[in-house]
Amino acid sequence: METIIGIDLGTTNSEVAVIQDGQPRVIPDENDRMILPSFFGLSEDGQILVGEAAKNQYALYPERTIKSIKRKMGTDELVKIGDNQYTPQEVSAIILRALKQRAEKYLGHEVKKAVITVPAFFSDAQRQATRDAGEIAGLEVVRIINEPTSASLAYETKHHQEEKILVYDLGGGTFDVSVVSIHAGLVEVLSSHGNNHLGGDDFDEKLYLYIFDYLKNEFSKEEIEKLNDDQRFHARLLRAAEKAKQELSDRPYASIEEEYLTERDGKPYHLSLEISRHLYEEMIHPLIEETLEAIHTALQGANLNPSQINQFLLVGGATRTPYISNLIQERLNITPRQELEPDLCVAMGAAIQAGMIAGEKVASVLVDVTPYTFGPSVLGELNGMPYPDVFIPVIKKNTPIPVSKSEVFYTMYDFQKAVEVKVYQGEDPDALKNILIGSFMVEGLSRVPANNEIIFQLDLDLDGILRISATEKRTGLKKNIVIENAMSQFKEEEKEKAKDRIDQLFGPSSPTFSTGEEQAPTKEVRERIVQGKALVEKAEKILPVIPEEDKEEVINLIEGIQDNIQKSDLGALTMEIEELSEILFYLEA
Amino acid sequence: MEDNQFNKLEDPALSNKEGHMIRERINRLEIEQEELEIEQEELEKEGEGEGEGEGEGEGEGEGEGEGEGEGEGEWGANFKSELTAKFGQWLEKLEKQCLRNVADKTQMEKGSAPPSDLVSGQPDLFTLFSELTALKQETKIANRQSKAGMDLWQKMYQSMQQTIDALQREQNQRRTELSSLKTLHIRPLLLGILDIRDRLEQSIAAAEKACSTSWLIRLAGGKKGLEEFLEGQKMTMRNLDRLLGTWGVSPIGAEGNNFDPFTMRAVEVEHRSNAANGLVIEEIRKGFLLNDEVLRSAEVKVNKQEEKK
Repeated sequence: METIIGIDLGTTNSEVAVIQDGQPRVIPDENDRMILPSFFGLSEDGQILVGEAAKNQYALYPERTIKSIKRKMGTDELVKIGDNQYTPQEVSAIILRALKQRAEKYLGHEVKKAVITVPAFFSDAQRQATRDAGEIAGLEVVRIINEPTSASLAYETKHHQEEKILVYDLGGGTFDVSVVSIHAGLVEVLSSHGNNHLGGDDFDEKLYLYIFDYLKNEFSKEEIEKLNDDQRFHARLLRAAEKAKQELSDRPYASIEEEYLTERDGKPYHLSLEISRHLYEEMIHPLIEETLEAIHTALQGANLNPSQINQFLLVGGATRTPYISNLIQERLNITPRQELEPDLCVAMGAAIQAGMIAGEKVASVLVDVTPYTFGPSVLGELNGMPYPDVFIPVIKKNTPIPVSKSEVFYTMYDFQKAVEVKVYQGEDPDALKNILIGSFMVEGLSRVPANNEIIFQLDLDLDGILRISATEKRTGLKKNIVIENAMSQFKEEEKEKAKDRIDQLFGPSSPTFSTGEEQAPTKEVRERIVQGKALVEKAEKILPVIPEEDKEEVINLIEGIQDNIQKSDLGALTMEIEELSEILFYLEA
Repeated sequence: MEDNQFNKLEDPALSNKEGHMIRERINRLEIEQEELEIEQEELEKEGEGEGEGEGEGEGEGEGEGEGEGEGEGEWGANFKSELTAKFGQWLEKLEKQCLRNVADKTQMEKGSAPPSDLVSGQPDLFTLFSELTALKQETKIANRQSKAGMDLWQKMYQSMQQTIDALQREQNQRRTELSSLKTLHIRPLLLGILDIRDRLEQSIAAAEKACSTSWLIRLAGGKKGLEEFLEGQKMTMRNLDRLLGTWGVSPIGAEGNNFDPFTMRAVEVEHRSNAANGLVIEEIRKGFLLNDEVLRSAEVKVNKQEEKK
C-alpha cells in the first residue's frame, strides 16, 4: 500500500502526519518538534533554510527570509530573496519539501503523494496554487481538503447521520470559524468567517502590557524610557507573560517572579506580581467577544441556530485558554470538544483523509480522556434559587488525562474556621444527583472576614487515581485525599444504575433477577467460584485416566462444587475445593 | 556461509530421494528378473522340445556347470546355462553400478553390454533400454523436484530472513523511540533548569556590578562579605554546569563566532563597520546543546554591515 501523507500547510506553522497502526501520527523532527515554522530563507553562504533555522535569521536578514507566504498564495506577486525571485507556489513548495523529507526520514522510504489542507475560504486560484506547490515539491496532491473538514475528520472518522459541525480555529495569529456539514463521507463547508490578525499572540500582548503598566508605576519616567530600549528586558517580560498565560489555563492564579529584572536606585529590582485568572479573562474578554460575533456571523451564513450544531470543535493552540470554552458554553449552551491536541488536529485529519484514500484501516483517534466530570459542591444558585449543593465542574468530561486543574472558592462568613470539601462525579448541576466520591474537612482556617480564598485542586492520572486537595491561599494550610480508581469505581456505579434500570423494566419481582446469582456476590465468593470452576475443568480433563476407585469420589466432588457455585455457598465450596485439589494433587503425582 | 548451510541442508534430502529412487529401481529390476526367469523357463521348455527332437537328454543340461569352459565351441548345447550365468553376472554388475552411481548412464550402458550378446533376448533388451530412458527421465524429474524443493527452501529462508530483518528494524525503531522518549521527558526538566541557570547568571551579574561599584564603600567598611557571596554564587554556577554536563548538556558558545541559524536566533542587530558581517557580538541568552541536538537555541545580538550602495 502506498503511503500518503497529510500536511497542514499553515500561515505560521506547518505539520505533517501519517497513519501508523490505524492512528494518525504527527511526525517530529530530530529535536522532537512536531511543528515546522512556515519560514524560508537563504543563509549568508547561500544555503537554503527552512523552518526553525530560517525563523532564527529573520531578525537579522529579513531581506533574505520569507514568512507567512500562505497569505500570498494565489497571487502573482513575486517575492525576492537575494538576487532571486520566487512565486508563492515555489516558496510553499520548499516548505512542503522539507515536510516530505521529514516524513521520508521517519518512514524510511520515499513518499510521493499527499493530502494538503487549506482554509475553507480559499478561492479556486489559491487552491490551485497550493496544488501546484505540491507538484513542484515532488508530491502528487491526491486531494486538497478544508482545514475545518480536516479537524472534523480528526474528531470522528465515521459520520452516519448528517451532522453540522462548527470548527472554531484560533491559532497564534489567525482566527477562523467555519460551519461544516458532514453526511455519509460528503463534506460541505456551509459558511466561514474569520479575522486574519487575531490569535494567541494577542493574549500574550495583553498580559505583557499589563506587566509593563505595573512597572510604569514602580519606576520613574526616565527609567522606563531607558528600559524601553532594553531588548533583553522586553524579551524577559514577553516570556514571563507567555508563561503566565499557560499557567492560567489550569490555575486560578499565576505568579510572575523575575529576579534581578533590572536596577532601581542602584539596587537590584525583583519583579513579583500575581495575576488572577479573573483579571486575565477581563483583559482578553474583548478579543473573545469578537470571536463570538464571528460565530454568529458564520451561523447566520449557514442559516443555522446554535442549537442545530451537533459538534463544536476547538482547534488551534490559543483555544487552550479555558475562558473560550466557558464563554461558548455559557452563551451558546454547547459543550465544545477539545480533547485532541489543538495545534496538531488539522494535520491529523489530513493524515486520516490520506489514509482513507490509500485504503488504509483508520480508527478513531485514541486519546485517554476522563469519561466523567469531577468537581466539588458549593453554595450557589440553582435554577435561580439559593442551593447548598451546586456542582462546580473542575475537570470536565472528555478532558485528556493526565490532567491537573484548580479553582478558587471562598469562605461564606466572617471568621469561618473550617470548610467541608465534597467531591462528586457526574454531569448534573445538582451535586446530590451526582455520585459523591470523597469528602474531607479543612479545619483551622485563619480568623479573617468572609471570602477567604481556598484553592481547590484536582489531579487525575492515567491510572484513574484522583488527588484532591484544598489549600488556604493566604497561609498554605492544606488538606488532601487520594481516590484510587476514580474512573473504574465510577463505572461500577454506572453498571449498578444500568442494572437498576433493567430491573425496573422487568419489574423488581421478576424471578430471573431475584435468583441467588443476581445478588452481587462478594469478592471472596467470586474468587472462590473462579477457583472452583478452574479446578472442575482440570479434574474433568484428567477424569478418563483416573483409577476407578478414585473416580467416583472425584465425580462427586465436581458435582458438589458445581452445585455450591450455583448456590454461592462459600463455606461448603471452600471445603470441597480443598478436598478436590488434594486428590488431584496425589493423582497427578 | 549461507550457501554452505544450504548445501548441507539440501544434500541429505537429495541423496535420500535418490536412494529411494534407486531402491525402487532395483525392486523393478528384480521383478523384471523374475519375468525373465519365467521367459527363460519357457525357452527351456522349447529347448527341451528341440532336445527331444535331437534325441538329447536332460542330463546334458544338468552338467552345464563343468561344461562351461570347454563348451565354447558347442554353443548350441551350452546356450541355456551360459545365458543364465551371463545374465546373472550382468544383473549383479548392474545392481552394483546402480548403487555406485545412478547418474553415470554411459557407464551403465557399457555395463549392459553383455546383454547385447543376448541375441535371442531382443524384446528384453528393448524393455531394458526403455526402462533406462524412463530411469533417465525420472532422474531428471527427481532433479527437477529436488530443485523445486531447493527453491522452496530458498524462498522460505528468504522470507525468514526478511522477517528477521523486519524484527530487527522494529527493534531498532523501538530503541530509538525509547531514547527519544527519554529525551522527550528529560527535555522539559532540563529547560526548566536552564531557566533557573539564567536567573542565577543574572544574580551573579548584579552582584558583580555591586562589587565593582562598591569598592569605595568597602573602604569605608560597608558591604562586608559581598565578594564572598559572589564567590559562592559563582561556585554554585560551576556546580550546576557540571551537573548539566553529566546529562550531556553543553553550551553552544555563540559569542565571537559567526551567526549560525541552526543553533542561534538573532534577536538584535547592530551595525558596526569595524566588525565582520554576521559576527555574534553578544549572547543575550545562552544556548545549549543536549548531546548533539539543540536543547535551547542561543539568542544573540549580531553585527550586520550596512549595504554599500
